[in-house]
Amino acid sequence: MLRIFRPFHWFLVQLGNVLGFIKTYVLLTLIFFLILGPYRVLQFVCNAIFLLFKKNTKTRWKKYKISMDFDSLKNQF
Amino acid sequence: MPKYVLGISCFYHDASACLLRDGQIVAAASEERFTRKKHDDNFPINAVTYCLNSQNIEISDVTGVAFYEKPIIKFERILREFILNWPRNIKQFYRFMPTWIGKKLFMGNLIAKELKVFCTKKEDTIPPIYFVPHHVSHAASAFFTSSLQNATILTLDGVGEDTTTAIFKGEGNTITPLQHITYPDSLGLLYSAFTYYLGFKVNSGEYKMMGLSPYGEAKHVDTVKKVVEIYEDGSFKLHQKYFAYRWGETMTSKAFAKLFGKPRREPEEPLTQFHKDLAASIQRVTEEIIEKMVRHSRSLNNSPNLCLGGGVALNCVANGKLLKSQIYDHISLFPGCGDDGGAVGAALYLQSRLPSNTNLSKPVPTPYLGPGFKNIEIEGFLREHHIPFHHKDEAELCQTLATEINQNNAIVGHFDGRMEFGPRALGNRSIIADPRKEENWKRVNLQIKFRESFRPFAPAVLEEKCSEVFDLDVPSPYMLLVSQVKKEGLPAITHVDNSARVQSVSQTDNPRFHGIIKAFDAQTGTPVLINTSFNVRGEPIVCDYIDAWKCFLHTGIDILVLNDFLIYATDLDKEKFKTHFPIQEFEAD
Repeated sequence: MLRIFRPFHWFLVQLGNVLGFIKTYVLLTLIFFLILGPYRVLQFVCNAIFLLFKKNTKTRWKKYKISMDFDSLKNQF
Repeated sequence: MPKYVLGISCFYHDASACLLRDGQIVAAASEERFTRKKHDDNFPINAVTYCLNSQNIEISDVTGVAFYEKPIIKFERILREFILNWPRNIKQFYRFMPTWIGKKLFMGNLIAKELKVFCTKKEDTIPPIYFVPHHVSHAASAFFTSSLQNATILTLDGVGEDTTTAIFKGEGNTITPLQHITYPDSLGLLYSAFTYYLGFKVNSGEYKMMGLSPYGEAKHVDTVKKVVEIYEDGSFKLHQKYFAYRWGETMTSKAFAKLFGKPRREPEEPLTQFHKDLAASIQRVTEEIIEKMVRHSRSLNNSPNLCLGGGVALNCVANGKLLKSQIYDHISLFPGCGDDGGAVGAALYLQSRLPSNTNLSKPVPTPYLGPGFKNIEIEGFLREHHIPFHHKDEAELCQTLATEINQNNAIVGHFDGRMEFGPRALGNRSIIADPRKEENWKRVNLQIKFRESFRPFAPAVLEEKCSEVFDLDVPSPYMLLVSQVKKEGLPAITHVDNSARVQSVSQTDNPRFHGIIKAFDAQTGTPVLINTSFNVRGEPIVCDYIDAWKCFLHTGIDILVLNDFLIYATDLDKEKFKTHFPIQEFEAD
């Protein structure tokens, strides 16, 4: 049975590669639309509520909270 | 046993490496100089090799490696932006996500893997890797190299992890964060958006737009202020409908072009008065924002000293005006304000935090931190290729060059000592010429550098005579301050608004370069020379003597100086050598 496929081996490998490539991007798209999409809607609603109560402060400066000790340098975050 | 700290910046633009020895910067260089690819962002393997070789050490002799940002905080911002701008940014999502998920999220492993090539022996180990926040790296490079004991530090750039602008307090060995502005409100990105709209390359052509601004009138300030809302404390808000950098492949949106009534200028398209006026307008607005920010920073920390860092601090026109405003008594700048300086800042900050190293003295500020070459090596090269040369001692060489520049209007490619760190050539990798001859402006631009004719040239002036020639009473060793020209008769370095981007040269900082200008002054009564970087358009500044030799062959430079050796164009047939030393094609920037 396997012998039948032998002449097509190269094509099957290529087909596998193409399917693998498509799978990666389908997965990324699914993540994008299924997870990030609803999150975005939720975020939009929250933002709208937040804007209703937000004071119109005339500054964009924020307190800069950041750890400056030696141990914090070991982390990537 | 000396302690070494290695700093690294890479994977965005201007990759570089820096090495500290007991708290002193002993070597620093950008990767682009070695790979000959401008703004090279790859891991700085060549720069790290140079740093380690300069001290004859192995990677395992290094106490710690400092990377110039926190990758996961940056990823958080990128992810947040994908969510906020969904689904317009789907293209960017596919472009960036695979690299981030597969590579950049594991930055520690990635750096360790790259450094593995330096482990030549079995027992060699990779030193621990530390991550310094992006703006802390900028702040550290500005403050720790300043020789000031206390200062307010203001860092301004495009974007780090999430911060775009930050104010710190620097005192002794510590830096304390005070306030910041976060993405997408960014002064660097605002300036880059206009750079893009005017047809220049982002992250590269900003200085061209700054050079273009004096040709125009700030007629469009009101329109620019529709794009950016400025508050009294210097903070600002960018109206995002005019920008596309959050989700697209371009910096500005269609609304931006509609607001200014013209489409984006294509690169190499002729520059019109509109473009010049717009450059002048954004420059004016940038200066206004910076001045307000600086006033605000003064109200937060009562120090008379200011240190400026980040790519926006390369805006020497704004720096010059800031100096004039006298908000601070003293302003200090580091030559590598941009991301290349991040490697230096990260290393210095790690050094200051290492438990055993907290009492080290501050590094002596110098920009000459790159590779240098011995006379014997250069002489060997010249003899091997049968290149006719003249060997001169220092005093004789200075006199000869001054005479050639003065009497024969010679244009000299000057290569001497260690290469400068940062984007400016400060004498050791410079093209120098007579500033009194008006034709030299066009001649150097069009015949030597092959670049746009509108671009001005910077003067290098004797530090002791700086205030006689320019309206500047403080030293400007790194060419980061613009001032008005007082002395008449210097048309090749005087911009259309009578300004110049000054480099003051002192005897202690660069004795050779000082000697050449001094000899020229003795002959002519002009203590000034044109100083422009030793390269052609799109090429990184020359790094070694072979780069310098190639640049000399393929341009109209009259005399090449390689340390103590003089090579005259008239003594050789450039065409004959060109075939043996072809120059690579550089993409116009």
